[in-house]
Amino acid sequence: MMFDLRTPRVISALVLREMSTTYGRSAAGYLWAFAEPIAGIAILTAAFSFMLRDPPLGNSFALFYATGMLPFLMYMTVSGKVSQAIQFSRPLLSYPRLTFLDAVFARFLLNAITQLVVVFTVMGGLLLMQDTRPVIDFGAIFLSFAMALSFAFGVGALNCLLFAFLPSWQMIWAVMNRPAFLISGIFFTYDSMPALLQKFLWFNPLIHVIGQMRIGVYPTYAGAYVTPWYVFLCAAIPAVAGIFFLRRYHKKILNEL
Amino acid sequence: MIEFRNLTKSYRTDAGRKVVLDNCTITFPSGKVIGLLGRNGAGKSTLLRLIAGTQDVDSGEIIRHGTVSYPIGFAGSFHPDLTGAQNARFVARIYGADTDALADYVMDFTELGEFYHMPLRTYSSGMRARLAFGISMGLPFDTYLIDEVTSVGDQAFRDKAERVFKSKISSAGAIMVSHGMGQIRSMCDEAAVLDRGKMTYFDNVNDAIAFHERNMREQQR
Repeated sequence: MMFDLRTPRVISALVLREMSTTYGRSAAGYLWAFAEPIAGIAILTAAFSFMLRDPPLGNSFALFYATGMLPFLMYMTVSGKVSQAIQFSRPLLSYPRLTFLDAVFARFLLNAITQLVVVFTVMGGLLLMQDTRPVIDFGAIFLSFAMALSFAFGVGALNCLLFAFLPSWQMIWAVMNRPAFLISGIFFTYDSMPALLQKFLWFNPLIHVIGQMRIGVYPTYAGAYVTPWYVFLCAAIPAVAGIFFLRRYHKKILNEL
Repeated sequence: MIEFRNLTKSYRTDAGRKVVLDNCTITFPSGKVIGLLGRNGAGKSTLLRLIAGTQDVDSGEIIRHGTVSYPIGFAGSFHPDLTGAQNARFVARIYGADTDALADYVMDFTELGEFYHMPLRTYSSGMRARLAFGISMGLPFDTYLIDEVTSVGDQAFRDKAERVFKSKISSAGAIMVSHGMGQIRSMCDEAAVLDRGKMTYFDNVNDAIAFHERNMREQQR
């Protein structure tokens, strides 16, 4: 019942609708998706190029911060959007033909694709500005995106449920996430941290995502700590729990909360 | 045809548990227009959502023979930034209908003129209702669920809407909620009255209306 031939059609209808309503009224909506990472990279580059002689890896500050900011924002944006999926599609779910899963998948799909376009455009632009010919390991980069996006889906799906039942969780979650920017290795490498700190940082899935991204961009960077299966585990557990309970309770969320 | 088997539905409110249906077994026959009467807050709209499948039952089951529509009459699913045509196309897509054919049908039916290609936020509530009704009339269902379709435009438009609706349901059925007893009398073949968790079915609409009005008087006293 959940996955039949209608599902792709319904999901594409939802994607088209979100595209034309979010980005349709003005181009500004779409530009914002590019502006946020570009501004973040520019600020980090400006700030740290005064303090440091060389970036932690390679010789371009902008490229180094891009390899941190882009996967980080990809995760942040997609998980945030997915966690609002049911709220966002609430009026539509009065069509029995649409299920909450359609709403969650459509939201994930559109925002994941948007983020991938942003990342490739910004990365492409930065790499063209390099003096040296970049050696990019696309397999490694795609693994990094797969890690970021699956973790975003898991967190988003679980939060979709939790935000509905515990509205205060939304605030707590926002506060808990504030240090994420500092501890995900956006402006440092895991390897340069003291051993004691590494023990704790290792458990942050985002530090693995960003490390994996740098493995793909810097041929000399080993990133030996990066453990993709740990991130996929951190993605699968909340994804399964979120979808399981949403499946059971989404009608209650829609009608009786 | 829609069958309820031992259906129970209640929900929590601030004033305690509210019972919509208590262990109800009933069959809504196909090919008929069935009016659904009940006081305000008796749970008529909840009942339509149960039949549509967008709300869960507590226990028991609902067996649906053939396709069942969404509760028609609500325009809440329309996006204010999309035009009438775009909103129609969206519904066509999710129901697997031909998008262009439905968009043309709705344009014809609703007589919205140039408004049809303007964002919905510019619409009056009457225009929204016309759009909602037009879209649902353009989709084929075996059972139409209709929630309070009233005041859809002027008399000429209402006549047309009623004519189209009657031709639609000559080959299908409908379950209709309305507070207008005149509308129930003119549109419905049979009727059910929902009151304090009990559903009473009447083959004769006038009997149902009399029973419903007696319930209303009892409550006032």
